[in-house]
Order: sequence, then structure tokens, then C-alpha cells
Amino acid sequence: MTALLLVGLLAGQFEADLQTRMHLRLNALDSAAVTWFETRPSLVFKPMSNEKVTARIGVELRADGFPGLTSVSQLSQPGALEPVSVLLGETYVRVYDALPGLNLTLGRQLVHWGTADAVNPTDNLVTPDYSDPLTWDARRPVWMAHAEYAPASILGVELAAKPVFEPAMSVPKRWFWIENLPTSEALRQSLVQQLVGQGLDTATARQVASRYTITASEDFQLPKNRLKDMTYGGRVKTHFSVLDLSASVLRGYDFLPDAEPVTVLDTHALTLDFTLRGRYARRTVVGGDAAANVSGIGLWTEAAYSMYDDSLFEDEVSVIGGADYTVAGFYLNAQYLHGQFPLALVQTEDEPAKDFVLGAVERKLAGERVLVRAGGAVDVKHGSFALLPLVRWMPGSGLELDLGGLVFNGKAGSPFEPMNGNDEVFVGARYRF
Amino acid sequence: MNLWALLIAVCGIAAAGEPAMTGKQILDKVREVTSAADRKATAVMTITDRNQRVQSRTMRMVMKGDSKMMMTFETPADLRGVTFMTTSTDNMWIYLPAQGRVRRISGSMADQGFGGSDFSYKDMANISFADEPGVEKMSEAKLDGTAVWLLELKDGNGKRSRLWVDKARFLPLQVEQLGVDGKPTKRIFFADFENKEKSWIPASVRMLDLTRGSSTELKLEKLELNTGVKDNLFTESNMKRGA
Repeated sequence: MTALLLVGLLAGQFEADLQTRMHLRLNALDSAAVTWFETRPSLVFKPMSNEKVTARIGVELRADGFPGLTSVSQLSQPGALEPVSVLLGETYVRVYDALPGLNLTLGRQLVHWGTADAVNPTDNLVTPDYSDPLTWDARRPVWMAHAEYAPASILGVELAAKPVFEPAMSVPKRWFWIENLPTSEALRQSLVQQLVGQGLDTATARQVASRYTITASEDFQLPKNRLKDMTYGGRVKTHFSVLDLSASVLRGYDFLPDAEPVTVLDTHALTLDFTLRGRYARRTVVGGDAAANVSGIGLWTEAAYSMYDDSLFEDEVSVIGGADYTVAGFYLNAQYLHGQFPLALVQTEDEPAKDFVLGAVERKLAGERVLVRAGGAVDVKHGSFALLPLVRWMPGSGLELDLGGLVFNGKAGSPFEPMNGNDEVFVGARYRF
Repeated sequence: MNLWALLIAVCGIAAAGEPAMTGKQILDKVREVTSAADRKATAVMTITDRNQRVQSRTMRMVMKGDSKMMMTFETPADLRGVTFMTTSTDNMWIYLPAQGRVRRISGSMADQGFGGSDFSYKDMANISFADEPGVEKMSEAKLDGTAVWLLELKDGNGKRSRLWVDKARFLPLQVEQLGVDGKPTKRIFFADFENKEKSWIPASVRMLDLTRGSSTELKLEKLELNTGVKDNLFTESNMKRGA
């Protein structure tokens, strides 16, 4: 790390970013608590940056403000007392005009795939980062070989290959967690109900169920790292008059596992084995997008058709369309999504909610030093919503101070229902230099 | 009549006999005098708000002809690497390095401040008069003691402006953008013209936002002309490299 710092300083190409934020959950006075306290400093070094080659090394630290102690014996362990994770940021070498018009990038990188503003149905390439509920549209850089060929400004071709699967990171359990693995007691209760349904009276059913040996376990598998399990694909882009168009194909894995419960009941051996199978589904995504501006209104749409390898999953269409406009100093953004919404991580119904309206209104005040934003998403099927209001003060160059909130209103069956009670106020600061 | 008076009269008649330039011809001449095949420069942008608070930005810029431009912010840190590209006033994009994303600048966003300045994205795209407005009216005037043509212009979207052109050198000295009520909303001053390779390039462009009471000055440094910039530089993928 010291060597990298020295190289960066000597090369004179060094950027730093420091963010810290704390959330307070105030839903009940007697249980008001600090639910989030994280600091994320990051450093970027560019040991080389010229017309032909750019090299970049990014490092991100995530310092949890909460001690991670689980026993007295850990009191002498700094890592348990002050948990810090070290993550690799964008770290790559990029060669411009390797051949005329051809740029090649090898390494850990962020590639934006798709033109839509927040949710990209065509993107099955770059791993989402759900670790921070406020930045639910964030992504992590991934190891990739990426080529962009643009022989002229009206035509571009991209190819990408990602050799290793990188799953999405979830929010910390402290902030939000649903226990997918049932307890033995819950399984036993479920067995009692089953036996009652078969005609036994409740007392007898309980007696029978008590004789069963019940186990609950998880069978979780990541995709294998064979070449045929790679993620790869390509995109063609063009623009025509005021319209940007692209079409793409990507083959890879979903970023979140599908959890399938498997129950095996042996009435002779009196055992009940519950296994939660976690698997990542593989699919081919064919899609396209378009962006334009018409009469001062920015318009975009992105659509994707996903074809799953496993017949257990249904092929599906995801579409998002949106518009933005500035009037009287207010920036307005509205989008309609038919597909998976990132914050809707848990769907409890057989027919999950698939239609969402996303919107935001922003206004800059005080000579553009204060930003006021109200944004959120509505689950159309249930009429439930999540809101993210924010006031940001930028007193000086590179410095941002935030005061905001998270508000959830989830009706029964809505993907926002599990987050009822997670309403919070947060304060944060960010400085870039 | 003595010989001198006759000579002056003859010259006067000869001059009166020359055809007067039309507004379009003057505009074309302005473009001819101020254009170059391509330009590269670094620029310092100084923004002063109504409370006299000053912010500074530095940028690199590359232009080809009058319509293709790429500008990359070097400072401050929160704008570092952000790149703006235009190939016409209808086609503008911005590269946001934190997201690795190139985004088309939509119509209403085009009127927003470029890097927090008083220049809008559209102003930057048209900084070399790439748009071809129609000339509605033309007159002669004086601007700070300099004889000028005053052209009243209207672009394809119906927006009106005024342009003051130095009669002797066909250099643009001042532009006034007008609101729907005909009153000026922004005033742009061009100064410190440098003569390089037969082109006159303003090293200083200053914008006054008359409604907000703020100003932005753009000073060009290390100006190079006609270095052989290629058309295929202006692509989305090259925005990641920057200007």
C-alpha cells in the first residue's frame, strides 16, 4: 500500500474520496437506534495517464462504526473491535487506439451497460452493490476484458468478457435481514399443521411431530468457474439525428441467488429434512435501448428479454421508460419499470410485483450550493412506496453535507412490506480531493 | 475645387460604389476569421456569484471546426474527469467517471450551467457560432469607441440575440442573449484576441448572467491550432480518455 501511495504521489496522479454516514431509526422512542454507521474512504492512483495508455489502481475501505465483538476473547483483536474491509476499486490498464478506433481495457472496471437512468434491464454484466440502501443503483467494478471499437462517431461496437462470477453484495444484516432458513420449531409447527390436515386431532399431531428429528440446512452453490460459465456479450451503438440507439446480447448469471426450499419427510425414519437450495440462474439477455431529446424533454427507454437456461425459471421481459425535464429551476425525472426493482429484494407473493413508478424532483438553491431532492418508487400493484428525501449542502468545492430520510410504506404482499419499520433519518458527509 | 478635394470626392464615389455587406456575409466572415481547422487549449474558468464568491475550474479542450468539441475538467476534484462532448447543438453528451457512464444531454438539461458556470451546455456547444442564425436586422454602431456592426439574430428555435462585430477586423466583440420579452438575459464579451496561423481566437470569453448577477470568465492558455485532430476522436469511448 505504501509503495502504491509513493508511486501515486511521484506520478502526481492521486485522487481521494472520503464518505461517512450515520442512520438513526426513530420509529419508536423506546427503541430508537443507530442502525447504520459506516465510513468509506477510497484512494485512486493513476501511475500512468497519457494519450495512449491509462493505468489506474483504486482501493476502497469500508469501516463499520459498530464493533463486531461476539465474545470477550475478541477484546484484544483490533479487527473485531473496529471492523474494516478492504475492497479493490477500479484497477485496470486501458490502451487507446490499440488499433485505430479500438480501445482495450483489462482489469477491474465499471462499464455502464444500457442508457436508462437508474435501472438497466439489459445489464447482466456489472455486479450491483446493494450494500448501501441509499445507493441502491450502485455497482461494483468487476474483472473483465472490455473492447470498444468506434471507427466513426456514429458507430460503436463493444465486447466484454468476465471470466469469474461476482455475486451482488447485500445490505448488512443489522440494517435489514429476512431469515430464509426456518427454525426447527417452525418446521415442527408446520408438520403439526400438515398432520392436522391429514385428519389427526391437534394433540395427537403434536405428539407425532415431537418424535420427528428435524434438520434445517442450506445448500448454497456459486456458479463454477469453467470457461463455459463466463459472462460475455456485446453491444452495437449508433446515433441518428437526435437519437442514440443500441442493441446488445449478454450471457451470464443473475446476481442474486434464487432460494428454493426442499423438504424431505420420511415417515418411517421419522425425519424431516429441510434444505434451502441457493442457486444462481444463468440466462441470455437480448435487449436494446434508445435515448433522445424531443422539444426539450429527455426521453429514454431500455428493454430486455431474458431467456433462462433452467426451465424452472420463466423467460421474462423487462422494460423501463423515462423522461426528464427542467422547468422553472425544477428538475423532474419520471420512469416506469416493468421488471425487477433493486430495493424489492424480497417478494413474498406467488405473483411478485413487477410494475413500479420511479420519480424524483430536484431543485438547486442558494447559488447552487443547496440541493433539495425528493425521490422514490411506487409499487403499482399494491400502491406501496419507498421515499428518499434529501437536502444536500455544498459549502465548498468537493464537500457535501447531507440530511435525509428513508420512508417505507408497504402494504401486505408488497416488496416494501418487509421494510416497514425501517424508516430512518440520516446525516452524512463527503469530501473529494 | 482643389486637387485634394477632387481626390477625396473620387475616393468617396468609389467607396460608395462598393456593394454593402449583408448580415449573412458578415456572419460568414466572422466565422472565417475566427475559425481554425482544429484547436487545443487548456482553459481556466472563474465563476463569481452575486455575493462575489469565486470558484475556479481548469479544463482541457479540443475542437475540430466550429461544431465538434470535447472538454474535460481537471479541477476541482468533484469534477475531475467529467467530459463534455458536442458534435452539434442538438447532440451533446457528458461522461461521468464515477459511474463509468456516458449520458446524452437532453433538451432542458442543455440550458443548465456547464460545470456550475453561467455558460449553459448549449452556450458551450455554440461557442464558435456553429449555429446558423438568421439575421433579422443590421445597423452600425460604436462599442467602447470601436466601429461595429450590430446584428440582430434569431436562431431556428426562435431565440433572439444581438451580436456586435468589429468592422475593421470582423471579430465578434459582444453577444447579448435576449429573453422572450426582448430584454437581455446574458451578455458575452470576447477579448484578448490572438492571431495564430491567420485565425483570430479570443483568449478571453466572459459571460454575465444579468438575471442571476453572476459572471463566468473562460481564459484559454496554451492554445495550439491546426494540429491534425481527427474526426474519430469525437466518440463516446474516447470521452473516457478525455480531451
